[in-house]
Amino acid sequence: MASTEEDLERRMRAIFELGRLAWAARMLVVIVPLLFVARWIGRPASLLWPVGGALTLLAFGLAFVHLRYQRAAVAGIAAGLPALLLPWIFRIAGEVCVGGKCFDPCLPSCLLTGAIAGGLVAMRAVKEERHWSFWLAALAVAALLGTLGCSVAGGAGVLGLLGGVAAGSAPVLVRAELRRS
Amino acid sequence: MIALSQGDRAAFRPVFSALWPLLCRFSLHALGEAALAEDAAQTALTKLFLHASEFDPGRDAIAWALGFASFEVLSLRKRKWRRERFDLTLLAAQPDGGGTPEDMAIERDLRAAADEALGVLRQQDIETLEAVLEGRRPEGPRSGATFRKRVQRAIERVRLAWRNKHGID
Repeated sequence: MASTEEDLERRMRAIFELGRLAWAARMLVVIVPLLFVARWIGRPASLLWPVGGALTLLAFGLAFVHLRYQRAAVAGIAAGLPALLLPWIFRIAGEVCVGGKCFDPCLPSCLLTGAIAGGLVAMRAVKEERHWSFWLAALAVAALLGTLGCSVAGGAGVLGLLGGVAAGSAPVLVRAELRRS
Repeated sequence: MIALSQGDRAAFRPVFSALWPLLCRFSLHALGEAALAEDAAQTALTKLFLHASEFDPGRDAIAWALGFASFEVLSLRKRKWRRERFDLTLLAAQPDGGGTPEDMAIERDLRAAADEALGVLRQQDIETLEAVLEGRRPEGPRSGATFRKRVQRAIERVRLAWRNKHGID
């Protein structure tokens, strides 16, 4: 291959990467409104900046790398939406009293939405050829988005979310692995 | 192309190796000039790779690539056509280093007017003026004064003819 053709190939490769960046920027159309929603439901800026920034960078990076991971990011966002909104809705509803005992529903809602997110992500991941990397990418996005919502219940809420995610994902993934083997 | 559009970097080289010669051949066939064809092929390839992520897997990759090349070929043809017809600087550039089209038109009018004025002169006056313009001098002891007199008379006649025709000196 002549050196001029090598130069051209190098230039075209750079242009291709530029095109990928422009393509990945489309993820911002989804992420940025979600961050505004998080702000609107009262998430503090001190949390929104680091977590929202990490979520934006992660989703953007995943979309840049491959379409498979872009799908993972979208799946993660879809799975993490209940975790963003449900704790906030429960907080508005106030304490729940069952059998004369009252409790804050935020923590259970984080467990529940975490389990939903984990289950959804795992069910989507097992359909993919490279399901482990897909699962990990989607889970990271869902966890970051869920953290914005579950932080309403403090650190325990976030831990509840993560526990729920693990509890929701594990059965689906284990079953899929057993089927494959 | 499908793999590349999804972000598979390993597919870049095969796509490049297949499309670059194809676009070059297509552009050369369409434009006929190697330099122009390479420009068109490069621009087409740039646009193709910039939009590679938007490639629809349902489409034919070759047809998609040739679509970019066709657009570039047509653009270059149009640009060339415009340059040839409307570029005044190109039109003004004369092989002998002449002036602008306006200067050329003025010179043409002046030459026509001079031809018209010289047309009424006698053959001897024309030969005298030609000798002056070409820097020739007749030889001989008395020829200098005679020649000067002839030149003076020829100029007087040209002036007269010019004044009769155009009303000014």
